[in-house]
Amino acid sequence: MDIVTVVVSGLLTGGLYATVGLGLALVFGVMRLVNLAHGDLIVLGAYASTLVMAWLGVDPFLSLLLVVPAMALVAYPVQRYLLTGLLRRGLEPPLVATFGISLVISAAITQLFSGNARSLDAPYASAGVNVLGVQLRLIDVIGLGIGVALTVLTALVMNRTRWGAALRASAADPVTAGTMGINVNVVYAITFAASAAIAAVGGVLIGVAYSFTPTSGTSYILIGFTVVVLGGTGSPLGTLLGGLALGLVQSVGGALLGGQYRDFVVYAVFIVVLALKPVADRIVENRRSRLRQPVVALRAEGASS
Amino acid sequence: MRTLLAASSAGSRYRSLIALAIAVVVLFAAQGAFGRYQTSVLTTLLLYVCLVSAWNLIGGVAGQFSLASSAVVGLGSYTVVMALRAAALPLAVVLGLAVVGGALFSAILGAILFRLRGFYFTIGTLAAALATMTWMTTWDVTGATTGISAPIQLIPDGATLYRWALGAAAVAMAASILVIHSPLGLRLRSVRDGEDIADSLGISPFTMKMAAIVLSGALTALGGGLFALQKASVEPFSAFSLNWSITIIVMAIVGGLGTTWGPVVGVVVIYYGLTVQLQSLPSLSALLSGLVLVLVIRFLPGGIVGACRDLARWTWGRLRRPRPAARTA
Repeated sequence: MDIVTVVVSGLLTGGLYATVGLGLALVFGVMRLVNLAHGDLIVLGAYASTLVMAWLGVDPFLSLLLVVPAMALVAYPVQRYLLTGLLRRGLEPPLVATFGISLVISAAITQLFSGNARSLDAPYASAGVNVLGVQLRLIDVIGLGIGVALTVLTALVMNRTRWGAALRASAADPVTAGTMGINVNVVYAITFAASAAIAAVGGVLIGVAYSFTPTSGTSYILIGFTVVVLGGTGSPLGTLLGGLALGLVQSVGGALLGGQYRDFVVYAVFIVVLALKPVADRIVENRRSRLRQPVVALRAEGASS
Repeated sequence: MRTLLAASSAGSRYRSLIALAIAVVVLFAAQGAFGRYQTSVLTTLLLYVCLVSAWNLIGGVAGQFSLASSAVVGLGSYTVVMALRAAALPLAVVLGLAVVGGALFSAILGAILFRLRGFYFTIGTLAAALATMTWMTTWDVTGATTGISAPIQLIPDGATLYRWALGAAAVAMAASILVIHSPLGLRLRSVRDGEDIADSLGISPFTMKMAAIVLSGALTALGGGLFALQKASVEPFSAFSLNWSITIIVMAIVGGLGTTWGPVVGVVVIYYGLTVQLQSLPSLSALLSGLVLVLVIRFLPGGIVGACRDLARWTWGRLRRPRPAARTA
């Protein structure tokens, strides 16, 4: 494989990774909830799509018209009546609850669909396409397109709508947002529902591009967290960049070390990034305080004169 | 404050140790009465008690929600099987190797991951667990995906294994009791409940967490090594399966985090109450244990043991204090 192919295919996979990370980043950014069930929501979306496809005989992406609202409807009460109450009790209870939900989802899928690997059939699943002289899979290009589209959509909703303003207010200070007439509990629940909807899109994308089993969620949750840690939770754009960076690193790592180490590269990158994160945060913090210093000094001078 | 001091009192420690000693003697003496199947179920149960008590030290007492147990269980399993293949050493030496290996591995893990706090630590341990599993599926030395099996003549029989499992569970429980009712346990809980405050009082959170993870890792590897002997062969997908971490955590939380007897209750409820009863339906028992976990964290934050303690305290309070109506009469 030449270097261009490695880079381009890495970036394309990155689009999928951004989709996986986006839902996690949303939930974590708004309510500091670590959703250990996000990977299982992704897999659930893929299995729900197999049901709709078998029932109506439609295209996987068309099945999203039913799967996305269904996932959002299921997710809304989980946040509203279970997780929001637990968030007030500290970090661990909601973490444990999502852990339990993850267990329930993957076990239920195993029970209903057996543990065999499946994939979503689509005529374009293995079709090739030529971009800039590089032979690529069409589905990977679609994946990048979806990742970018979801990022832009989320950014627009967050920054340009009243609802987005309510969401940002709830994230910044839930108590004050509550006194301003924002129903924070509903905002939280809608955020979680939106995150599940994004997970469903990611699930269908994964289902068409690769295969999935009831336990695939575990590896995707880790990919998602790697993206979140790389890209931060501040903005959807950061998540997209995090996804692209991870895709690139994985592709280059796989090309250098051999295909069987592709997953290992992700985990290793993740641990290294996590280990370096406190250092990086400190550097950023130092630079910020250094930037602030002259202002403070000027004010002090002004006060003394 | 009073409850903390009470928890660290010597009386409570001796009562727990005596109860443990009685339980061990009874289980040892009753061995002859068990059939093959019961012995095997009890062996598994005791090994789970060892693993869950070990996790309780790091996850419950020190409050570090680690998902890396599966890596340490796998490490213990592989150490025991590889050591038995390399040389026909006595079982005690082989298990000792696993304990040392588990402690060393946990120390390395802790040195890297305790730079992180809260959920970053949790996710870091998840990455470590998955990374070691992926690594083991590609490493030729340990037979990659096919794994390795121990020489059949060196595998102890069911009765011997039962005694080893009883010993391992007893050691883990005794360690838990000694730690929980000691100044070390008090310091660990202070790190769990307020890391910065503990730090400002001169308790090093890093040293405390390292002590907890090393002790926990040593006991986890011991349990993992004995589990490998029960199965006689190891392969990466089951020895390093994340299911170990999941099962252990579910048991610990359902029983009662940070309590001495919570692990035992959790193991009995989840393993004996669900896994054994629904042996032919593993995914249904996984589903139910997930549901139980969600219900426990929602309605019984202290687990079963915590709820019983609250109930006992409440009834005790009612009994000691006469009702207002009775007082006025």
